[in-house]
Amino acid sequence: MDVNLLNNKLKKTRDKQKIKRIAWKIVVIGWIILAGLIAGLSAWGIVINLSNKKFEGKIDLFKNEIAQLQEVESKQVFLISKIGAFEGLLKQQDKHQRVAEAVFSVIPDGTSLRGFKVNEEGSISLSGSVPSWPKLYELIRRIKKPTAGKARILGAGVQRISFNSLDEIDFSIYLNLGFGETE
Amino acid sequence: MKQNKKLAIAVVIAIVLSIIVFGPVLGRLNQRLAVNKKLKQELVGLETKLEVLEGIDKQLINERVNQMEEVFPSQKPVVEILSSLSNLAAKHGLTFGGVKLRPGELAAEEEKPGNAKYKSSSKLLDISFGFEVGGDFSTVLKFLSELESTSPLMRIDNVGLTIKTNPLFENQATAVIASIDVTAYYQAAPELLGSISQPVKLLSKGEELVLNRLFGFTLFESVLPVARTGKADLFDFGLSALPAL
Repeated sequence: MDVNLLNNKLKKTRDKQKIKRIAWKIVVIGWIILAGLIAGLSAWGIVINLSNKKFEGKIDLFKNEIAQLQEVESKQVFLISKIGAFEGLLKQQDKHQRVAEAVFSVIPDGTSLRGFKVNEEGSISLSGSVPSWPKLYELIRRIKKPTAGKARILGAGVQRISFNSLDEIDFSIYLNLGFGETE
Repeated sequence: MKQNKKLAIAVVIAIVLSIIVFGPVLGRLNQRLAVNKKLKQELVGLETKLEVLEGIDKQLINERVNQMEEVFPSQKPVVEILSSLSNLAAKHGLTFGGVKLRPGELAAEEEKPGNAKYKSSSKLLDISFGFEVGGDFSTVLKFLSELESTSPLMRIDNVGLTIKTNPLFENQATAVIASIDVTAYYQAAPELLGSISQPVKLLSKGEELVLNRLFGFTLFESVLPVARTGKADLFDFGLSALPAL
């Protein structure tokens, strides 16, 4: 029986050559893909660059238009910078007006005020004189009665009551006001 | 063997080239994309800002700024306060005097070096002062209630009433002298506008209402003394108005 070893060798060689051809093909295809990718990315980059230039042009245009309205902008900024503090001051002023309303609403006609002091916490000291006892009772009654819609009187106390040389009744009272309700 | 070597070299070259070429290309692309995104955002911001600015009523904002400057000034309103108080007292027929003004430094504090207190231009500043008004009791009360709605914005700190009526004349109206301590406020205007891309804030409804209250303040014109200064042309006899010979 004859054994032909050449056939096996030839087959192996052919297989190897086939693999090499395939490998070369893969390498060449790879090169082409890489070249294509580079070309594609570069083109994309150019498109983005053009778009950026377009955006820059538009931005310059908008900036020019905004610069023409700079006066309006500066006035708006001015108002916004001041409005916070101004609003706070107006609130304080409203509080003061409520204090004044509360104080003047408790004073009956014919009362003469000599001293009137208000502090930030809403504590008020009042001193003056009334011509008669009924007027003093009226004053105390009004202090006891809660006043709706104004600063509420949370507490009050009489510091002094005396007669003066004109037979009037001098008084000195303090009031503590609360600002719970807001209008 | 030779073929194998060539193949290996081709593969290595492909890898090296892809690293050398792709790296910078991808880097540049990334950079351009980032710039593109930033520019898009800036453009949208500018478009919005332009729309906002074009939507602002120029006449209304002018009026508001002028009124704000009168009511809540940017500089120490010493002259304006004195003028307003004397005018208001005169309007009610009250006597006005006894002014105790504590205006502090008359120079702008912000300019003083090392003065940390006034470095921030948006700081709320105040001046306190006292004065006296005299008249009948009800008019003084009216004066007090109108004082807080008179420009520049003032807050009454303390009121002391002294009865001046002669007790022998019962029919005489209650004459009082009110010693009033007041604080007036001012705030420096912002010095910088910020970058052009910075958005403009719109006023909220609440802020619009606050600004509308500006127009409820009574304005009194402050008259400043005007003195002629500098050299006057002694030979100007009004001939410049004559036609040339």
